[in-house]
Amino acid sequence: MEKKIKIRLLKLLYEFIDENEINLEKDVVLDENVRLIGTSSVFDSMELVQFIVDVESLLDDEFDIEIELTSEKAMSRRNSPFISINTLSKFIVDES
Amino acid sequence: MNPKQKTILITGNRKGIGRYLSEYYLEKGYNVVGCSRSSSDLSHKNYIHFLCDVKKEKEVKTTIRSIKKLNGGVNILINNAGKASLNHSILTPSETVKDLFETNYLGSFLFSRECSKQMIKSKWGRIINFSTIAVPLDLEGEMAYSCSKSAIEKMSRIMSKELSSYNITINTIGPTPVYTDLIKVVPKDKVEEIINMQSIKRFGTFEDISNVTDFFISNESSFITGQKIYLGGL
Repeated sequence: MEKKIKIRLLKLLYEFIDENEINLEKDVVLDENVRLIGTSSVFDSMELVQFIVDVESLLDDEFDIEIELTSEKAMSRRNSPFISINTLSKFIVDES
Repeated sequence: MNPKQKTILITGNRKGIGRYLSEYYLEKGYNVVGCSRSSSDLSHKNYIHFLCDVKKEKEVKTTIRSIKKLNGGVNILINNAGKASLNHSILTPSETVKDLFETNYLGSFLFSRECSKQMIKSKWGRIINFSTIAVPLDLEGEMAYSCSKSAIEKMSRIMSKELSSYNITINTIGPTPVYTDLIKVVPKDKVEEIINMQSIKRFGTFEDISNVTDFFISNESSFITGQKIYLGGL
């Protein structure tokens, strides 16, 4: 399940970057480890908000997973689930 | 987008202002979705009613998810649900403060947050929140109620900035006393005192309210956000 979600989220990430015409730094490798938050993130803060909304919607539509990624639990974790597609996929599987 | 393609969600619409607005926008051709804690006798081919307590996060989320599946999502949200309670601050139980904040402020926040997620995806949305003229008037005896509505005003201002880039506008209407069940809890002399503080000294009408909601939701109001309009001239 985690692998399936990871692959789908990665596809969503590609689509999102393309649709929003996000300019990536030259050395960025767009894989499951690319940073989604922090100073080296591929997103600015508004893009991250929009991406989280898209992820929640995708999980609901395609996996029938109802999850709030911005729950107290997610936000209060020492290691944010939004670091990468890898950590996000793991968090989704753990919480659903 | 013409009215027939738009879905308006009106919270707390079983009676009073919410009921009026539901019938008003159904008449105009909108798809209207309403919600309240108990069932509604409103029947129309373009109307759906959900049972939902606005302060319960799970119920709010389920309602919004269901609307998305049935109608494709909410385009316009009118956060009408609310309750009032009057008392001297010293005599106000903490449970009353908690209840007012949960129904008025938390309820408006939860619906705004969940509907915004759908609006962000469609890159268009209108949210109207309900305040009251009791906020600028600093009325004695309305501390808890006014504070909960004041929080709604602040929420509207900040969210309007956060969501402006998605073509979502968020505005607030602050009605004067209108003949509804909510005003029944206010003593008659208190209501008269409030009306005398208005520039135009009369009760508000349902039509006064729909005049402002029409303005806020129109396509032409895409440059109007973070604003509040008090009725009656304050």
